[in-house]
Amino acid sequence: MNIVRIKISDWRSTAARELVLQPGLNILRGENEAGKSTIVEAIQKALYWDHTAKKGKSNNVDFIAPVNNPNARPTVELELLIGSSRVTVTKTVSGKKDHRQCTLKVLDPQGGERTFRDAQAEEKLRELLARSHAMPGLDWSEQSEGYAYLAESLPIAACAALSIGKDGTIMPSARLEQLRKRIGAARDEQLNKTLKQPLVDSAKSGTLAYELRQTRQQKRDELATVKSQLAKVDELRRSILKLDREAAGLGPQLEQAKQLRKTRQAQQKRQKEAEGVRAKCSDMADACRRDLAAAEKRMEEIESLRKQRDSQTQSCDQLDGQLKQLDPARQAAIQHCERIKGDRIKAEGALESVRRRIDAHASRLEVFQQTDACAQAQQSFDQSEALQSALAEAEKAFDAIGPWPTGEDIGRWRKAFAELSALKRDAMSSLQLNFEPARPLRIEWSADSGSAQALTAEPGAPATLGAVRSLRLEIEGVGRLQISCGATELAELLKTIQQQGDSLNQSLSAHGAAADELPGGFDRLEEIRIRGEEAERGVKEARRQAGQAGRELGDRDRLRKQLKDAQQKLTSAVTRLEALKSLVPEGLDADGLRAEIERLKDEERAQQTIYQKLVEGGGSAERELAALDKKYSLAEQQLSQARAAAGEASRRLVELERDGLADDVRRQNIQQLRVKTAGLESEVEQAQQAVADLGPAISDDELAAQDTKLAALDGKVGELNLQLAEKRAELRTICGNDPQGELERLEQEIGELDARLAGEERKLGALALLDGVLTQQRQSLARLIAKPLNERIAPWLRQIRGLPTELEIDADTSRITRIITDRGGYRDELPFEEHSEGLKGQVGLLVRLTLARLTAEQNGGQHFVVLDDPLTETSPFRRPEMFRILQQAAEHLQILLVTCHEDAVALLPGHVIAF
Amino acid sequence: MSLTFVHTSDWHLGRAYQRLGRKTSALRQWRFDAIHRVYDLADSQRAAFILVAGDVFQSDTPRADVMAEVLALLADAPVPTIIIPGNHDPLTEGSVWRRDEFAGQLAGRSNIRLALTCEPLELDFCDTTVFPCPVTSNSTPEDLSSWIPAGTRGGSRYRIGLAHGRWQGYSGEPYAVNFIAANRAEAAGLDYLALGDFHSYTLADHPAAKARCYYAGTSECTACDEPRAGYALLVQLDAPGDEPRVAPHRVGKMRPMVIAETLSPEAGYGPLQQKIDGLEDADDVLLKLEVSGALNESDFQDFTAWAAGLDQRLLGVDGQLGALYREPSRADFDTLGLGKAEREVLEALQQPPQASSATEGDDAQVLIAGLASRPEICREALALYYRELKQESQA
Repeated sequence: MNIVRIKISDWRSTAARELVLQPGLNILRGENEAGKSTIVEAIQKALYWDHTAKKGKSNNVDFIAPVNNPNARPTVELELLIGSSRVTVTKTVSGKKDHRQCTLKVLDPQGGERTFRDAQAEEKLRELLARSHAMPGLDWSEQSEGYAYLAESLPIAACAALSIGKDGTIMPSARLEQLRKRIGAARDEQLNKTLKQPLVDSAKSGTLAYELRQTRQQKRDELATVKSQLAKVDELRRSILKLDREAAGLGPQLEQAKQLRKTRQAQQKRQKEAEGVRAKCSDMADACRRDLAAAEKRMEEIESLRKQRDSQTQSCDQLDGQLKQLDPARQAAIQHCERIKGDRIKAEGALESVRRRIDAHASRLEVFQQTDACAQAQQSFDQSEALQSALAEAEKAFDAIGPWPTGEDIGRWRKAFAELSALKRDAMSSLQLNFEPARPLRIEWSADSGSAQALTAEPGAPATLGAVRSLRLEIEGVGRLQISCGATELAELLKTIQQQGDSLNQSLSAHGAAADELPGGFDRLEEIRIRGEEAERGVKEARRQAGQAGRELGDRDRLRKQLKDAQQKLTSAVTRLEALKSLVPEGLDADGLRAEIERLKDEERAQQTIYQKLVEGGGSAERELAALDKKYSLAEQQLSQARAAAGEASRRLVELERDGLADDVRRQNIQQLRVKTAGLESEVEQAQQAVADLGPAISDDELAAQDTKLAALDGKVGELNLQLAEKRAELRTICGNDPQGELERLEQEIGELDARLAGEERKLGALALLDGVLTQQRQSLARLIAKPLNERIAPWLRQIRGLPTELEIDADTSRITRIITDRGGYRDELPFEEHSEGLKGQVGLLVRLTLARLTAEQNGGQHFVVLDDPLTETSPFRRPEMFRILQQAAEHLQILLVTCHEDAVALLPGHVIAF
Repeated sequence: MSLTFVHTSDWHLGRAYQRLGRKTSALRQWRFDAIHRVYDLADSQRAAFILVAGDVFQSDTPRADVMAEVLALLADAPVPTIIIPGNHDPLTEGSVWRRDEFAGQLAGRSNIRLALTCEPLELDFCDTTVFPCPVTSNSTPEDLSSWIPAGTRGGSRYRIGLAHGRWQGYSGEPYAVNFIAANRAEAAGLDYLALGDFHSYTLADHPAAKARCYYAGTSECTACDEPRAGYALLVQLDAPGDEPRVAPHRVGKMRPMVIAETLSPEAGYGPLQQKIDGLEDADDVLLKLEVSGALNESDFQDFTAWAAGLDQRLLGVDGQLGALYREPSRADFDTLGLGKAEREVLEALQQPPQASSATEGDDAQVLIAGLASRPEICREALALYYRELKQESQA
């Protein structure tokens, strides 16, 4: 493809300009700001600016319209030769959408012309450019890029584009490289911002995927909870089923246990009943046996009694015989005894007579003696009584006197009385003086005690005392001193007297009684005193005498007792003598009596001896009789016993035979009882067998144990039911939250989140894949172009540097890593970026020209390259060599060199367009 | 005496249509509305009773508000209604059927009979014996209808079975769990076996129907792939032993629809668009849109935008677009004027190296080979490549 002509209008500061280019080298020369780059820009816009694309930063063309005419429509018309077709593209490049337009005319070699407009024109243009391998990166370099030269095509298998970046990176195509960068960035973004889990675990910094995962995790957690709830539900349901089954299993057991218990209870009852029957039978059998035994015993007893009765009757007869034999001897003995007894009674009478006579004599003697004793005792007593009487008299006299004052007392009283009298007189005087008493006072002793005695006034008493007041002076123990006066005011005086009287009273108190006896005043007192002292002496004497008599005769009681005893003895002796008085001759005194007594005692002794003998003889006969009596009594006793026994036997027999049955009947009855007993015993055996048949006896303990088991079972069933209720309640609580519904909801939500995450991951995968493929492509191209590029470029590098030079291209990084220079003995391998800017720019230009040339060769035609002042960093010494290389390249390429340097014009043979 | 009754099942009350977003609450109500239409049917046709063959609830443990709503719903039943638990709401411990808040409240209602045990229900007022088969687990490895005693048809009473499970061989495949013996109605001498579980009612020419076993289907559609959902069956028998006359009556509102298309960049999505845009009463349509194949970049974007907008026009869309890719065509790439390197990249994406061939290469190669072995990533990468190249060109 070649550019044939370019025409612009209203393009920046250029109102209109048209350039015609030729094949080969075209040099657009001009001063700075002459508009050279405007031409380059216009070519670029005509070829690659899409007027249908949305307005954006990268395709902003607002600035292209002239500043002085913003409504102008900047237009470029570019005529191209593509293959054998002549193509004219016209674009109005404006920031205003309505102004934009594109027209494409294609004139084929046969003269056919087709015109395309707008989008269709754009599309057709892109197709044509692609077919000619035109590439924006290859076709021109921009002025500001300096050494960033682009090449688009290679003739080798890669046949793709390359670009060399400022860092020496070779890129398969600018577009691919841009794309790769964006994809890489997008991938990183997707990875870092969308999918990669943030390092900082916070909600704000979370990526989309992180949020999705977090949400999903939350949902999964919720799901796990719900699942656990459902598992719990299952578990509870299983537990309930199990418990239910267990409880249901226990139900029959419980029923069985209840039934068993009931059975056992019934069995126990039956056993008890059978036992009762057995016991009853047994009791009846026992009763029957007892009846039998009684009947038998009775029979035996009857027979025995009969024998006994007969035997005893026989014994009675024998004993009766024996008694009859004993009786004569016994009667003789009795008579003998009676005789002796008569004699002895007589002897006893004689002896008794003697003794009575002795006694009579002794009694008479006793009367004598007691009469004397009695008289003596009476005497002593009388004497004692006389003394006592005298003492009593003396004491009485003494007591009559009572206490008496001493002489000293009487003297003191006299003195006191005198003082009192004096006081009275003083008082009287005072009264008379002060009150002129109408009558004199009379003072009188009174022997009375008790109430006050009012004294009347004497007749003739001075009447000056209008009112008579009586005063009573009491001297306790002495008497009363009555004072009458005519003035109450005497009270003060009397008070004094009272005080003195009190004092006197105290003195007299001990002798009050004596004082009472002294009505005649102190003389009387004196008399009393003398009498008293005499009486005292009399008493003392009487006491002394009485005491002496007491000591000699004993006291009065003893004497009285002695007298009484003597009197009693005398009475007794007299009484005894009264009965025996006839046996004692009168006239005997005491001695005669005593002699008679002695004689009678001798007589008594003789009679005693006779009597003693009779007693002894009587004793022997009685003993003999006693032996016979004993024998007879024994026989009688035996007979009596035998008779009693026989009687008892007979009585008992009568009792036993009261039923009146004959012996045969009794025996028949006994036989019947035996049969009955045997029958009952059989029944007992049967009852026992029945009990035995009921099996071992069921005890209350056993039943209690059964009850315990039943209760335990019942308790277990209850417990199970309780557990069931608890489990059911728990289940009910859990199920109330609809875990199944929740599970379905959460699974659905998690599924949606999974799908979203999968989408994001798929997106990342796509980005990664594309990025990987692009990178691989770049690496592959880099490897492919390294050799041919070096082959083509090496002569040119040697030409400008004078040294064999080779580019080292790293396939992995797609970069020109080093420029290797063979300096004759050694290889200089300096990294690309460390070379001078000039060399780097030259290398870039050479790479671009090489690639463009190869592209042209590949297409079998020419290709154009626009170079906007590419050698600004190249030294003047190397520029000529570079121009020569440009000249060589222009043999195969259409080159539009834009420059402000004159040397290019001078050195390069080409079509010069001057600005 | 002839017998008329209504057979319904799979109410799935309390089911949430979460994927339908804003319409969830309305759809939830629709399910209740459908039951009222079942009641209307029973009322208008003077049905003797209603048989509900399981899955009244979506879950055996519904929330309290759902239970309360269902209680209120059941209170409106115009005729005796016999209900058995299904595999969604089996008669388990803690399930709704054992809860006082629900079952306890129904105890005194004469119009509702919860059949929770396998024992005949004698409906003397219509000379009918119902043999209910309540489901006790969500997965039962035995035939729960096996308890129904053998009998003969044509006696003095109608013999009606009520079960929930899969009629053995219904879809040609044998079932290992939750199955109902295919000859159950015959063996037990049933005049009719009312079944629940499958959500589409049984067509008259189905072998099950010939064996007097019918599914009523769900009263309101639950998913798009239920072609005959939203019906209740009106069953009529002239006399015990006679062939039942079974007629489906529409009670649901939702119309399920499945559209599966494979698109191509060349044909675009125009025909599909026309088909869907032409739907009548689109508001009631629950569409399952299964789209596979590929569209070019622009079509793809347009199509996805259009498909996203469908949700506003239809009742609901279950869009399965995961198998549809944006795929730039060769022509698309041609317009970009690809250089050789760019074409090679394109080829590399279109014909990626096999994973095995790169197992011994460097890490990058292994990574690329691994990614390239996944077609969805390759397709995504290709689309991305096109998009980026185009953007770069326009820049």
